[in-house]
Amino acid sequence: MASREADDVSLPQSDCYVGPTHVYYTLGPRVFWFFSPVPISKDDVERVAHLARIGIDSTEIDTYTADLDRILDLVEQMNEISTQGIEPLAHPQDMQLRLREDTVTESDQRALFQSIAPQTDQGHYLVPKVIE
Amino acid sequence: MPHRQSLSTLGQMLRRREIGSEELVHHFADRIDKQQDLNAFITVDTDYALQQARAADQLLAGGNPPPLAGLPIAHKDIFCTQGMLTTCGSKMLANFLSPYDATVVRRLKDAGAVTLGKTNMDEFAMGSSNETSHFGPVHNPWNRDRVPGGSSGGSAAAVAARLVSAATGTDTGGSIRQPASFCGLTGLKPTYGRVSRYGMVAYASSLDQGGPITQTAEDAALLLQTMAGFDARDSTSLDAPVPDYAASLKQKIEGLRIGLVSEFFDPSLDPDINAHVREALGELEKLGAKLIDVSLPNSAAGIPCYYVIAPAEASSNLSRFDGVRYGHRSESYTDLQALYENTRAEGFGAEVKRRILIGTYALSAGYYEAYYLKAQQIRRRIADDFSQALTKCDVLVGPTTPTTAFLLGEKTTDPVSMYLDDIFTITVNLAGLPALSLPVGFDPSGLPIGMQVIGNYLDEGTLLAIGHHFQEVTDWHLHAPGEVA
Repeated sequence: MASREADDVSLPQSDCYVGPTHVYYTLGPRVFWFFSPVPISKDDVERVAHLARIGIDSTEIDTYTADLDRILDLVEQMNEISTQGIEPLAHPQDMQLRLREDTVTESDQRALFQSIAPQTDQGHYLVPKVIE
Repeated sequence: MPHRQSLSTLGQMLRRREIGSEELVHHFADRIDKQQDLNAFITVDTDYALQQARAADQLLAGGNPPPLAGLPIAHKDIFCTQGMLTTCGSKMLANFLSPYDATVVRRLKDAGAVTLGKTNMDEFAMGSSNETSHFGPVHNPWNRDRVPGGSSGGSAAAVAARLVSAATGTDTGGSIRQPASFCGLTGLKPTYGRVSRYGMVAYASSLDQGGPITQTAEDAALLLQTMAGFDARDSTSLDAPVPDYAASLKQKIEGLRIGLVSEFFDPSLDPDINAHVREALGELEKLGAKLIDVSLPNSAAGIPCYYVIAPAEASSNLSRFDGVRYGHRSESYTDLQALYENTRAEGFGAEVKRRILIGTYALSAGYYEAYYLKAQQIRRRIADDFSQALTKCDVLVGPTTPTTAFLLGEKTTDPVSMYLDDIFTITVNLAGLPALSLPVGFDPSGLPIGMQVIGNYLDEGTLLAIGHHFQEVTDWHLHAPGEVA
């Protein structure tokens, strides 16, 4: 596979075609692939569903796996761009988190906030027993 | 007819006592009632609106009313409102009565605006067609078989059908601009941090921004004046002064350099959209603006980049919905795990689940560098492209969307085909810049076409000036769908 130094001096002219259902992004010379795309498996989806605490049953798992695979195909297009030495951008204007004086400014509104809770008792939110 | 008046004109009529706010509420409530088939609203509370209107009428009679006294608006159902449910278009919050008002809601309320109701939206703002709402899809008032756009589809449909004079929306990847474009309206996404996100239910915290959906740029300026400004309760709020946007409207645009983004005018662009946008640019040239060609080379990377970053941030933001403190709680669980898993399985729709899953995957151990970090690096490239281009010109333009409003159901079988509709709007959120969508014509079947103007950080004034001057020499913004008599 043809490779070229993945530096960020200048990107080759790219052509972007937006058709009815596809976005084709082509570069002149091929860029070296840092990460080879791996299709997402049902096991991956189950693992991730558990991490996200979303119940996915056996009738749905195939659909979600196929959908996520489609999305990952789209996402793989990122690998066509060199990002060597590029600083990640977390905030559009690289703002740092603002600090304030360490003084009390809020009042106790627990009763108000808990008035919409599904189940409470003496100021606690109730959930099923965790410790056996 | 009051519903054909812009927000600004109604404001003048109210202040001159030519019309009362209570009368306006009755008028608009009646219109809302007669067009329920649009499904633009999730909650309408006429009694509460009348209460607000009576208070506004008192202020108007008093002689020194606040700037928006008596004006009928609606809020996208993503803004927390104390008096009305906040559902985010989701079963998860179908019963959620917020104990506090969002800053945007509070500021508009303090300015005297009257809220008629909460508008329908794609669930948790995830969607581009308002078809993912738990409360059913919204219909485009220009053609009821078509989508109004999303995720602020309800707000756009409500304003297009003149059920309210203006509405609030939110924009994470295009969710104000795209529905504004599909519905023939003016929609503004402010600079990231310009409008407080406190009380605006979070989807993707580094991309979300609230803004107005209106009939005119003048109306957008009027609402933005009240919505914008530093808020100590939003840690990402910009501590920057808010200009006088009404004065900004009068800024001359002679000599203004308008950059035509070559990637947005690709040969495959729909010819009707291309023609109308070019025509609109011709009008701006007549007003003295200069057109130059610019490039945003990494534009196409915006979509894959966004569909890593936004779902990743969403997976974190939506982890709060666990059935414990508010919202939906499953009735079938034997232990805590099951409570979480079942509550979330029942409460979220399919698109929300897809995005949470993809986001969780992209952030999980072993994949974080390849996906999330990579996406953030691409985000830097995209933002740099804009900064580069904005040294050569004052604003950038292109079509807002690659198509006009598509049919309901047309893109729901393949999630990715829907995502591609955001191609022109999405990079703007990644860079955090402000952008305005303006109506510039109609396609042969009568569907609205929108043009997007992108500005530099905190330069909403220039965008609004361009919109205002354009709307003084054209009348696209005055058109309303057929039945709007």
